Amino acid sequence: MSTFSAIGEEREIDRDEYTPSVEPQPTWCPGCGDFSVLKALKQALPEVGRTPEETLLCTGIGCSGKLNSYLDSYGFHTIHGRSLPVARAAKLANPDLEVIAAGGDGDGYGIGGNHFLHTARENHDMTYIVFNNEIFGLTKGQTSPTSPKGHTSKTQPSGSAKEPLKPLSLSLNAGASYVARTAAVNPNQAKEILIEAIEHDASPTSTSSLSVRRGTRTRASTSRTSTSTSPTTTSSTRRTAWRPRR
Amino acid sequence: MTNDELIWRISGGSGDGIASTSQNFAKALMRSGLNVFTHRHYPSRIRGGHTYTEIRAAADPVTSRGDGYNFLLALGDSFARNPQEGAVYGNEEIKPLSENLDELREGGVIVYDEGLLDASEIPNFEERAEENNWHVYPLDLRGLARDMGREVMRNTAGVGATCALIGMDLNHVEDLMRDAMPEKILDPNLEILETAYNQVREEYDIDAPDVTVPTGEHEETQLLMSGSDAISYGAIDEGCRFIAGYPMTPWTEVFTIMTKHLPKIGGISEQVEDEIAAAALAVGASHAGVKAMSGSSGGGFALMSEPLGLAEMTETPVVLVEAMRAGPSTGMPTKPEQSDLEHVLYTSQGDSQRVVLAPGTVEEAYEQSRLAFRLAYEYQIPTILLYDQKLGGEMVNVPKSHFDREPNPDLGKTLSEDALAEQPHSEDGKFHRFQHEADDGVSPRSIPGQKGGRYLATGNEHDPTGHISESPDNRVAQIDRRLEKLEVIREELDTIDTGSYAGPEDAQYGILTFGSQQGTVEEAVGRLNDAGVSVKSYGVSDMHPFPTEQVEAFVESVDEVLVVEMTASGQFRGLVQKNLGRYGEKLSSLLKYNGNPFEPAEIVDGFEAAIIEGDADASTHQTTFVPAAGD
Ligand SMILES: Cc1ncc(C[n+]2csc(CCOP(=O)(O)OP(=O)(O)O)c2C)c(N)n1
Ligand code: SF4
Ligand SMILES: [Mg+2]
Repeated sequence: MSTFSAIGEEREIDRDEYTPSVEPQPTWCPGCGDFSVLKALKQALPEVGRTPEETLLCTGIGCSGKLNSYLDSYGFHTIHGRSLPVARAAKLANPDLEVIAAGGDGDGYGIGGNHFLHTARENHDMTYIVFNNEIFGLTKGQTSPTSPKGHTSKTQPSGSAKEPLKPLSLSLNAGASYVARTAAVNPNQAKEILIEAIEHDASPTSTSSLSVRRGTRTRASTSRTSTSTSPTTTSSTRRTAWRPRR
Repeated sequence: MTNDELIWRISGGSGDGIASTSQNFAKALMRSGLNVFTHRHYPSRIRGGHTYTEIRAAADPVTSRGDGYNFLLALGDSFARNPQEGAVYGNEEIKPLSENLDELREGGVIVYDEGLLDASEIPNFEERAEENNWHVYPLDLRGLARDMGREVMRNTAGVGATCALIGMDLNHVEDLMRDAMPEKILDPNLEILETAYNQVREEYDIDAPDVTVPTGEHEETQLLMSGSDAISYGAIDEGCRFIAGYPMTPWTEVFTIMTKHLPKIGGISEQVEDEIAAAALAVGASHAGVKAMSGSSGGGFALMSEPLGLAEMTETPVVLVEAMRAGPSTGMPTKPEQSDLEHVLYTSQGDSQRVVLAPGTVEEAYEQSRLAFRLAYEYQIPTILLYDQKLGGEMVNVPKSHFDREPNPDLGKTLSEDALAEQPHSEDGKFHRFQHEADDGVSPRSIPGQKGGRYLATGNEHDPTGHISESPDNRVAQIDRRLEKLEVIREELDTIDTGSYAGPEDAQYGILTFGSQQGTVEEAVGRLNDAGVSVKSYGVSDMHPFPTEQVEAFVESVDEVLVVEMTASGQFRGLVQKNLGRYGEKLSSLLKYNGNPFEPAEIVDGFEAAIIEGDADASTHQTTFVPAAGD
């Protein structure tokens, strides 16, 4: 079996380790709140003591899904709405990895809504970051499950007739043991919340025994853990700009 | 009457223990030295609805169900509905005795539970029995069971009566009951078995049994095993330690068997919210370094399309099994069909980059389950094992030594940290996971947590480090490399040859088939040759990459080819023609899609009518003949 010597390595971690050197450079619109989430996560990870090579970041599809192009770690940019099933399986397969899932409100509450509920219900020891901009950003501004009632867009020209989803109470209801909300305009709080979320010790209610333990984790730290549903980071901007269509 | 084979049909209500009773009896026949093959028919309900299992037992190897049966044990159906006249299902109470009664062979035996079934409800029952020289034994099996234990034990009474009538010792049956039953119910069952046995012998004064079963002997220990067992054991022996799934008939069998075993060997089984999640979990677990699988049947597999494509694009090894049932949509959940072939070959966007194997027998199911994992992990490619309700559920005896093989936990081209250090990296330390130039098209991978192995896996087209790229040159290089793997896999499959061949090599005619119909075709080929027809068969397992050379040589070597498959549109024949690019005038089809697998006689008759007699309208009400193009 392979060894995983990146796991549990004791050393100073510089946040620049998470930054790709030349490329890729973020292609988010200037002023987009996603920049702050990236920055907050880059600050949080060294503080919780996790290196890029013991971290697996799984994203969905959306502007938010680009996160792992700009954060250097092990990454899995999955498909629209499916970051959670990929992420939680990786956590089951190797519980010593720091597993973080991330994606947009459309990704997590719309197309991936079922996974959102059930992953919260299983309450894995992992973190899920939702970039809630209340819109489908990447596909150019359509109404999302968290858009306010009356929100108009090209696909809902007479305004959304529906009340927005209430993801935080939903995830609490489903069983997530740590749920928080912060704002991209408040980067310090965002960082603190992320640290708390990652360090939160969830107790998985998944049916499986976590017996496929691999790798050795030397550091005696049980606190550096987290939950299924974590910060819902609200971007400061609802502006949509030109994006390549996926 | 003597027979060279016993075809014992036990029928009753679904939920009345028909499956476990028949499984034990098949084992007893196997242990007495015979070769066995079971065929089952069941409704999509937990309880109620007519169900039966047939066990065919003979001294010679059996590869298929037979035509009809020669022994019927008809039990009552405790859950039979008794609806109003004109209801679709009708009165099912008498079904265990009445259904397919015309398939009981001349001189056959009927044992029925007169405590629950009234033969006078069947029109002209007595005349028919006389005409066909059936030996009829009305026995109060329910009464006997109730008096000595519980009513549900009437199955055991039926088995006791069967043994008396076929002249079979009780010892194997008793041994198996001792193995399978908890103490509390064992004693009354043993007592019921013996009483029924003796009662029949005394009451009917049987000196020579009605149907004698041939005696046989096995040279080595045999195991009774289904296709679903074989797939599961193959997966476990090949190191699979993770399964995620969502129940759907008939795939649930594999899911259940894996779930029973995995936790005992340090593995994980997850029942999740839907099949999209199930396949995505398998991908995630494999990405993190565990051998993983998922699976479903038609509808659930449709939901797996996108995660399947993700595995193709990210070159994540994973095995998906697809247990076909009759479609479209919910179709006929408990009825076999092979019509998901095209679905499995082509579903998901883009050019398919996957392997598809369709085993033909229980032995092959084990071998190809292992092969599926080996190819998936060695070549970093999703591999699909395609089978159906027939193969999944049929039980046959397999020599125990068939499974004496080394386990293989190998993850394929996965690098150690030392080896990783030697690999190309970007300036910022990113490992080049998807290199353009790689032996056999396989660029070695790292596992998250390894030092020096950091990269991005993405469903977008990507450059060597895994980063999203739409550069035309990179695109062509990556897709060519991924497709090259299929050529190398084809070469490797050529050295294994998963095909199954029957009949004389220099035969005049050929039959092509795939998957679970192989055994039935081979039985038909045997019968046709016995009748002087010169025909051979080729059961193909590699659906993709396709064994074009071998199939072409087969078609080339004969005058005409009949393609036998359980689809309505001739999907397999279409696949053959697509790959061969010609021979349309040589290939005709025999199709069956009524929910039941082919019986050997249907293939024999169809072949004789269509190919030998050249009857362009050789269809029957069960099977459909489609002539060759230009005919
Ligand atoms: C199955 C599927 N459906 C639709 C799309 C197109 N698509 C890509 S991203 C997206 C919505 C993105 O919105 P959100 O998840 O809120 O992310 P954001 O861009 O706002 O960060 C859609 C509809 C897709 N890629 N896959
Ligand atoms: S479209 Fe919206 S979410 Fe996407 S990058 Fe621009 S501002 Fe950010
Ligand atoms: Mg959004």
